[in-house]
Amino acid sequence: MSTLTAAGSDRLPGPADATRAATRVSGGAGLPEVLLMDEGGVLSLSGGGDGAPAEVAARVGALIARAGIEGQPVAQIEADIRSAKDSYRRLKAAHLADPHPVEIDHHTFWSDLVAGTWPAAARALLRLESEPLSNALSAGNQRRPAPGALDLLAWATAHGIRVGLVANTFAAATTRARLARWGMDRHLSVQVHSSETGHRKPDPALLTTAMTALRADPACCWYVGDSRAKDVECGRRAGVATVVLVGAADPDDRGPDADLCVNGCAELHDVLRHLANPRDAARDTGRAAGWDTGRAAGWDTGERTTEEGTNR
Amino acid sequence: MTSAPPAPPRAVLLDHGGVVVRSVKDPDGLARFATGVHQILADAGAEVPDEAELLADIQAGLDCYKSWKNGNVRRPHPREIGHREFWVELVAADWPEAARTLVGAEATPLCRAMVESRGSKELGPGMREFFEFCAQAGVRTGIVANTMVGAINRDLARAWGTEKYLAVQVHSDETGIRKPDPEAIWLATRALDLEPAQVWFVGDNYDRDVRCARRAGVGRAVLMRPPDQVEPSTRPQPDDVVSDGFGLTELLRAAVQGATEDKGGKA
Repeated sequence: MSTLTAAGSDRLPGPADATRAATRVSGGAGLPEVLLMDEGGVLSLSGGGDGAPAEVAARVGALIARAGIEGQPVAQIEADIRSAKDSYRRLKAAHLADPHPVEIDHHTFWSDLVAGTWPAAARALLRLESEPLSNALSAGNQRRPAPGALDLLAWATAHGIRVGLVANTFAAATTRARLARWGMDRHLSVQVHSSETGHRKPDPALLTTAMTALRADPACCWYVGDSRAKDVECGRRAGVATVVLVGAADPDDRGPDADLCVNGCAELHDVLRHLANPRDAARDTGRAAGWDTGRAAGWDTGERTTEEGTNR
Repeated sequence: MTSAPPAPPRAVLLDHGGVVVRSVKDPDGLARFATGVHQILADAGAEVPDEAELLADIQAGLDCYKSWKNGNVRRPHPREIGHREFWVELVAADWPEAARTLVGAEATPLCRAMVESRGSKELGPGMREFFEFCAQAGVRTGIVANTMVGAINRDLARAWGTEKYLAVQVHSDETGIRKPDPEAIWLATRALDLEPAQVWFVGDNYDRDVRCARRAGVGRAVLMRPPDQVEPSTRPQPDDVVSDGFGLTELLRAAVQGATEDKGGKA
C-alpha cells in the first residue's frame, strides 16, 4: 500500500491519486524549476553498520603508536568514540531549538568530544588528524543508494529541472565521494553541506545558498527531505513553494506538515511525471505493473529511512 | 666533513612541496580546469564569464593568493586562506551573485581539482631511502606543510606507501596556521610529546621554513636546495644545506653514528 498523500488528505494509493496529489501540491503551477534534495533518507538510505567505531578506534590506536606517544587502550578509544557520537546526537537534538544551529567542526569532535580527557600529546595528534578521522567514521556508516533516486535525478535533469543538494553532513568529503561513486553528482548543479558552510538545517541558510547559486525564486522550488523538525521547518523558513516529506511517519519527529508525503524517490518521480504529462505517466505507470501491488510491496517495508549516526 | 656531527634528533619534521615531493607542472592544466568550471556554472544556469575571462580570473586569484602569502611572510602569525575565501573573494568577487555563491558552495572540491590540474607530484629523490633509514634508526618523521589542500598530500602518502612512516601531519589548510608561525611546528612537537629542540626541521625556502624553524627553536634548521640556489646573504641562515633526500639521509646518518660512537667511547 502506498503512503502517497497530499497534505490534509487520506491515503491515496494508485496512479489517479498521483495526479490528484500532483495537481494539489503544485496548485496548478506545474513542475518546479529547481528541485532541492536532502541526502540521507532521501538519496541514500542506511545500509546498516554503526559507524564502525571499532575500526576507527583501531586506526586511532595505530596513529598513536606511530607517533610514539602515550595513548589509550583501543577498547577505551572505541568507548570514547561511541560517547562522542552520543554527545553529537544530543547536540544535534538540542540544535532543533536553536534558530541558527551550527555544524560541529572536526577539531572539536575529535579533540574535545572524543579525546577531552586524554594525555595532551594524543589529544593534539587527534586534532591534527581530525579531518581524515571524520571521513573514516562517516564512511563506516554503510549507505546504499535510495531506490529510484538516480532515476529521479536523471529524469529531472533531462526535463530541464535543475537539482541541488542541501544536506546536514558530518563529513562532506565522504558524502561527495559517495554521490560521485553512485553517478548522482553529475545531476546535482550545486551541493551545499553543513560541514563545509558551518550552518545546519533547519537554519534556512543552506537552502538560501542553494537557491541563490541556482538563481532560483523560492516560489519555483521544491524541497525534499525526511525530517519534519529539520527539513520541513527549513523549507518553510526558506519559503519554498512545495515541501515534500519522504519516508515513514516518525512520532518523535515533530514539526510542521509537509505539502506532500511520499514513501521514496520512486513515488516522488511518479508525481513529477504526472505533472509533466498526466496521460503519458498514467500509461507508463500502468505498464509498469501498477502502484498497488509489486512496487508498493517494496515501499511498505516499514524501513526507517532517516540517516543515522554521524552522517546526519 | 671535519666538524663534529650534530646531535641526532628524536624526530625530523619535513616540509612537503620541495622536500617530500617534487612537482611536475602541467602548463595546460589550469585552462582545462577553467573549462570544467565554465561547464559547471553553465549547467547550474548561472550567468558566466566567457571561458577566457574565467581562466584569467582564476589565474588572477592564484596570483593574488601568492602575493598575499608573500606579503604576510614576515608576520608573527600568518594564517592560511579558506577554500571559500579563495573562490568568493580572490576569484569571483566581481562575478554575478549566483555564480559567486555556487563556487563558494563548491569551494573545497574546486580547490582540490584546481591544485591537481596544475601538475602531478612525485616523491622527491632519496626520500623513500630517507624514510626507511629513519624507521631503522628509530627517528620519527612528520610533515609540516603550507598547503591549500592537505587532503591531496595525505592521499599521496597513502598511495605511495609513505604514510606508515609519518608520525604526524600538519597541513595549513586544516589548522588555519601557516609557516613561519612557529605554532605550525609546535603543533607537531606537541603531538609527538617532544620539545622543539629535540627535532630537526627541513624546508626548501628561507622566509617560511628556516625562519619558522628558528622561531620554533628546533634542534637544527635544514635547508633542502640545489647548491647553485643557496643564498648566503639571506637571513636567517640554516644550520645545514642538503640538495635532496640522499643528502639528508647522510646528514642524519652522521648524527646517529656520531651519537652511537660517543656512547661506545664512554662505555
